[in-house]
Amino acid sequence: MIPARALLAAFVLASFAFAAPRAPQLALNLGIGRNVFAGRGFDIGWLGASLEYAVHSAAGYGGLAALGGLAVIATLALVEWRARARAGNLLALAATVIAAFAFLDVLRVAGGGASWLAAAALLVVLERAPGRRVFWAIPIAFVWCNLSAQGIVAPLIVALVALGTMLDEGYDAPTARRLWLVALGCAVATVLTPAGFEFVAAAPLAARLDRNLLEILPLAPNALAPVGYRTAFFAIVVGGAALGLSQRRAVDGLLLAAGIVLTLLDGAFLPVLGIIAAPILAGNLARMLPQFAAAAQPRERKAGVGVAIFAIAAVALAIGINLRANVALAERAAPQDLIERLAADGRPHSLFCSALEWCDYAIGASTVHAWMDGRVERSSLATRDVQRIVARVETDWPKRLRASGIDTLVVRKTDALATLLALSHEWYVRDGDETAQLFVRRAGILK
Amino acid sequence: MKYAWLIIAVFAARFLVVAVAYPAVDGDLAWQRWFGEIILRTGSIPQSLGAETFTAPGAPWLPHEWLFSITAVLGRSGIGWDLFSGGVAVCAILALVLAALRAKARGASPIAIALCTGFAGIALFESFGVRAQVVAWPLLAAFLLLLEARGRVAWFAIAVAALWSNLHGSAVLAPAIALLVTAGAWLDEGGFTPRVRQLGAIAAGSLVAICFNPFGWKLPAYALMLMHSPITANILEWKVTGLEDPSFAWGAFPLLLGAVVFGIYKRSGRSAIRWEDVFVFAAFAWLVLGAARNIAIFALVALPAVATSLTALVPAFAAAPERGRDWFGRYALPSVSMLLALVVAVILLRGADHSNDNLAGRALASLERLPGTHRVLCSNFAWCGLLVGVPRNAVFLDGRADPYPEKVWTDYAEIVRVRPDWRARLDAYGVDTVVAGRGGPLDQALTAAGGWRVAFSDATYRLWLRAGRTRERTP
Repeated sequence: MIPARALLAAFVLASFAFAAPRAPQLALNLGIGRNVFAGRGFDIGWLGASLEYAVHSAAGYGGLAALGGLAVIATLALVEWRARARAGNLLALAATVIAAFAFLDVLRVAGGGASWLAAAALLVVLERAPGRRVFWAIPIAFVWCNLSAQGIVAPLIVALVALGTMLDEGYDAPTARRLWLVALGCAVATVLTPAGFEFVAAAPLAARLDRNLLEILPLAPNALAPVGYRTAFFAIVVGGAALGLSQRRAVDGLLLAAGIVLTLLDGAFLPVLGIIAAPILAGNLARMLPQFAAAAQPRERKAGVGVAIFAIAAVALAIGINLRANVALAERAAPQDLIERLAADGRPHSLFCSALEWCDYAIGASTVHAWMDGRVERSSLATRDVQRIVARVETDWPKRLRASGIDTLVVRKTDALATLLALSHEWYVRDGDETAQLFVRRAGILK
Repeated sequence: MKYAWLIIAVFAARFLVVAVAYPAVDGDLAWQRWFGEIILRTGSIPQSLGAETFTAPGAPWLPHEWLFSITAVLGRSGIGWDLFSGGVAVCAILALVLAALRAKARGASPIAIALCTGFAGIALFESFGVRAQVVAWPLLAAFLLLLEARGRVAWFAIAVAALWSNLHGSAVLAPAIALLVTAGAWLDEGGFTPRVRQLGAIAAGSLVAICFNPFGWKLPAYALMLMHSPITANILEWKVTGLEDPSFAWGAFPLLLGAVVFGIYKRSGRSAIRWEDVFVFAAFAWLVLGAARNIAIFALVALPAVATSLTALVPAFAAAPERGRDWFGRYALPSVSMLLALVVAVILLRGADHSNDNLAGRALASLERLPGTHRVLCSNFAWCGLLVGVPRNAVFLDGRADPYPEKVWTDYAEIVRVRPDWRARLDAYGVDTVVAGRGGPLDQALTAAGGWRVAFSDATYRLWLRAGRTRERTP
């Protein structure tokens, strides 16, 4: 079984090294990391971003790809460890494959690798740490919250495990009481970031769990993780329906439900769903097929290698589809050069980006102030309203633009906004590339 | 099942009121009536677009809703409308009843059936209207019910498939479902038992039955083609389902979640995978995750499975033993159901705003008063359904949607989304009349671009005519 795992690990690493395209979120993380190193302040997710920035500075995008690959391998190893306790070697490997499919779009989404590792570690501690060692979940939650905004769900996960344990083992079970304490500790850990108490209010926004963000950002799993959604998500849904709660564990049901809801709220949570669901499904499968759950025999080891080879072939096929899908997504590629040229002209600009993530390239630029960028938690409701109204050319958008003091816009060429700006006498096209146009207000910067 | 009647009564009131009291909420009805008239007048079914459109006259068309169109023209007004629209509402109600009956047949408890029927009812909300696809819902539910039936009655599934194929193209699902059930039953029963053989024969029979319509084998071919058609990207109900769809979030999603968490069981086999159910569930889960238009049919499929699982696994939903004469269930519940339905209907009717103009009806009516001929583009293609067959008007695109070539759809998207080439495309097609949502992108573009004048305007819509069009084209 070891060669099969090694084979899978090598394949995942190679995929990241050779197939990982640069993702829009990368600019956000590198921008936040650059700010930390330059002493310009801490944003939510500062630790993960700093790590990525440091690796990028030292080893470029290749280093980042390797970092992502290693994080996914470590995460999958933890998933397999949890699954092995429930389902034996062979089914654990199969569970790892399901989880691996949930990571397929990570190749495009990028970033956040350390966040998934924290999620996997938290679940390992909750499921496998005996006695008081379960309190290790608190430092993990602390690290997770500093690594990524997704850490805000750590107390929720622990609370669901505590609730499920109560339902499974009785309301006065000592394990449940301990878990509630851990949940409380994790809740406290969420405020131990540079953001302090603000983290609690801002992290749901930064983790894109606020439904209103859908008006200005793509969040649906089919948009963010199209391949994983059609493979891993579907496999988990059908697998869950087919196998059900054969172990009758409320903990599993609650976690699975939470994972599905999180994924549908924000497709970036699909890897977390894979981490949660794979061992549960493997465990249920082991109940139905106990002959595969026993210790591996020589013949089953061969079967394990077979599973690994099949998995690699399937993942390779899916990567191929993923890369093809990326061609279609090229329209969303950020016009980095355009914004860098703007920042280099030395004049102050108040910038609006019709695709929010484009403004991530302006993070840290001293002369360019973006109306909104990927750090959505920094903007007020009114700011987000203007972003929506202008990007969607809703009624009175020119008035809102004037009132907001925006003097520069980067707009996708095919957006209605680009056409309407071109028809207006107030704006002219100063720069452009194959994707976007840079409009500047004729009257100059508004006073 | 007794509590489910309460839930169904509320939905029945809602569906009946919406269907009967709001005749102008679906743009498709207008062209369907026009089409039904043609069929009745000529005695034949046209299979290509005509002069009612200027972008694709002669384009091949497979009007799979032909029977619904005939019914629509017969139920145009007065008591005919009440019967027709009420009949469509009854179809939705019947679909819920049949799905609930399937749950009952599987041994689900009344409370579990009621809960799941509630979710399924919500899942029907968004897709509901006086539309052909609603008529297909009870046929789907009946088809599934018959496939589960033992004995000769199961053969009626073939007749259902044949009827279905004359009402809506979704009939192509019938043989696929039957085949999945056959494969599942073969795995479940471990061989070619008499039931498996019967199901196999029904699958084959259904495949033949869905060709029992004026279009023959072209109907399934057409329906399969449509599933992969690029034009679906431009149609709202083909969008990928998400939690932003209320019918999914509050209706189908709880059923999906219930299925995933509790599993889908039959009464008899809680410990083993029931492939028969799993295959059908997987197929409809795939459909619902792929397109919002499938929310309703997924809910109808999932309702019995989830209700049965809840009954089997959650003590609070366990079936209570029968107690003597159930006077409460027999008399009180139906009375309360009827009262509830009445109250819901009255509330809906009193709160109704019948002046609501969802389809730019006033703008289009003003166009009919203008002299000359018009080549009309509507920024929502469904509005132009009201102009199909109206003398002196030809439309760019209308609610018939499917037969329009991909090129027309691409150009339509370019114009209504005001992409860089929008003006050139408008000119190239010779569009001289635009109906636009007030303040929408196209409305703003026409205002800014010049060369167009407003011929009608209200709070929601504007009718634009090409400026300098002093000489209206004479017919």
